Amino acid sequence: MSTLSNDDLAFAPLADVSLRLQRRELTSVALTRLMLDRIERFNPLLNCYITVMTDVAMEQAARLDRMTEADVHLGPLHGIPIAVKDNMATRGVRTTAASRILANWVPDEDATVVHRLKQAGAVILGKTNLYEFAFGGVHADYGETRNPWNTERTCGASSSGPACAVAAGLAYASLGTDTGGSVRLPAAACGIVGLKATYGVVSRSGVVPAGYSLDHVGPFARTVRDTALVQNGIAGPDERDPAGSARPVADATLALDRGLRGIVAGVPRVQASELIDPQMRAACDAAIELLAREGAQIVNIDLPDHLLSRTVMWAIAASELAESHREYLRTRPQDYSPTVLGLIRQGAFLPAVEYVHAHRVRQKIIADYRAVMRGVDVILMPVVPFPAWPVGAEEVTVANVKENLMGSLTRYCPPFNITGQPAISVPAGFDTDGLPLALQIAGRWHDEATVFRVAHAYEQAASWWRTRPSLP
Amino acid sequence: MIEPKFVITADSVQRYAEMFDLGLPQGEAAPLAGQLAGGFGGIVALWDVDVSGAEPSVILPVDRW
Repeated sequence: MSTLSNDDLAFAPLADVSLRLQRRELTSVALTRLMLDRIERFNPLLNCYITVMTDVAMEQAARLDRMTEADVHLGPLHGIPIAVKDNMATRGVRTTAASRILANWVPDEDATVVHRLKQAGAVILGKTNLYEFAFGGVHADYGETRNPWNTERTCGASSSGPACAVAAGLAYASLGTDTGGSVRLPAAACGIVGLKATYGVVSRSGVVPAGYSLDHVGPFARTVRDTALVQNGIAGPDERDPAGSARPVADATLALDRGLRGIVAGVPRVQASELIDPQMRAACDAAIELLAREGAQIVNIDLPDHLLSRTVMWAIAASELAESHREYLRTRPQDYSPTVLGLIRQGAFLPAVEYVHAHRVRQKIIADYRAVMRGVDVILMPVVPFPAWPVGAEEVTVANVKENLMGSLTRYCPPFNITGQPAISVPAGFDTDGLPLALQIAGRWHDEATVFRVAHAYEQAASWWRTRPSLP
Repeated sequence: MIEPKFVITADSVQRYAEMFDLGLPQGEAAPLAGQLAGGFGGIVALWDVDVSGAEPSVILPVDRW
C-alpha cells in the first residue's frame, strides 16, 4: 500500500486503516498519536471533545499493538481510535452529559456499548460534546460544537461532538444517541454517515436516558462500510437493557456489495405540511434518481403526516425526560440551561392521560408504517429540511417561511424513533454555500443489512464521501 | 373524539407546581405558561386521531415483528 500524508491518513476510511494495522504497515500507537495531535490542534476551534483521554488511549493503543505483534487480532476495530458521546458511562472517566448536574460524575463501570468497543479492540479517544442531557439545547458551561465545514454553523442537534470529530478527522468513528434524530441530524449537518438501528438492537445500558422509549445508540463514520463495521461491534442482545431485543444480529456488512437489483424503494408523496429548503429537496430528488439509475425500483407511498410523529415524539420524550429528572428538577433547577429546564418542566406538566394517548397514537402510526413496509424494502426521504444553521439561531427561514428552529428541525427524523425502524443518514452533496446535504434511508425492523446495502450503493455511485472540510 | 380544552394561566401553573411539588420559583410561572400553551396546542391535535384498537406499548415490541 502507498504511504499517506498525515492528513490523508486522518481522513482515510476506517476499513482501509484497519487493513494497514493488520498488515503491520501502521501501529495503533502512531494512529492514536495522530488523532490526539489533531484534537489538540483543532479542538479549541471546533469544541467537539469535552474530555480527551490521552493517557488511557495511548496505553490502550500500546496494548493492542503488543497483541498484534503476538498475532492476536480482535477484528476490524482492532487499534482504531474512536470517540464516544459524553452521555455514555466510561469507567473511571467523568461522564457529564454536557450538564452542570453531572459535571463531576465518574462512573464505576462502562456502558455496554463502550465495553463492546473495547472488547472489539477500539481505542477510546475521549468523550464528545452534546446538547445538555442530549435534549433541547447547549449548556453554557460546554458551549456549541462548531461545524468543520463552516465554523459559524452548528453541527446539528444533540450528538454534535461525535459527528464533528469524525467529519474533522479527529476520530475514525464515534457513537451518538438518537431520541428524535440526534444521530441522523448531525450526520447530515457534518456530511458523514449516521445510523439509528432498530429500537433495542443496540444496548442503552449505561447511557444517560433522554426518552426511554425513543432512545437509540448509533454509530457515525465517514463511509457506509465503516459505519456497518462499528455497528457490528456494538449491536446484539444485552440483558442489562430492559428494552433490548433478544434477537441475534446479522453481520451488517453482509449485503453491502449486492447492488440494487430487486430493491423496491418507497418515496413519500409530498405532504400538505411539507416545508423544505429547495437545495435540500433537489439533492434528495437527485439521489433518488441516481438510485433508480443504479437499479432500484422507485414507487410512491403515503405516510402519516410527519408533524403528527413530531408531536407524539415531543409529548413522549418530554414526559419521560421529566420523570428521570424529577429529583434534580426539585433540588437543582438553577443548574440546568434555561432551554432544557423549560422542556423538562413542560414534561412535568403533561397529564398522564396525554402521555398514554400519545402512545396510542404512536401505535396507529406504527401500524400505518408496517402496512407501507409490506410493499417496499426501504423508504427514501430527507433527513432535515435545511443544512447546518448559524450558531445561536432560534429561528430558521425555510422556503421563505420563518419557523421555530427545533420545531422545523424535527420534521423527518421522529417518525423512525416513533416506529423504531432502522434509519441512516448519508451525504447527498453540498449547497451553494458549501454546506452538506443528506438523504435518509429507512428500512424494515431488524433489516439493517438492506439499509446499509442501499446506502452503500448510493455512496459508491455518488462519491460525496471523498470531499472533506478544509480546516485552518 | 372531542378535543380537550386546556386553560393554562400563570396562576394555574403556579398552583399545579405547588400541588405536585415541582419546585417552580415565583415569577417563572408566567413564561412557563406561555411555553405550555404552545406545547399543548400541538397535543390537542392528537385527539383527532382515531386510536380505536390501539393500546399503548411503552416498550416497543420489536421482537414480535
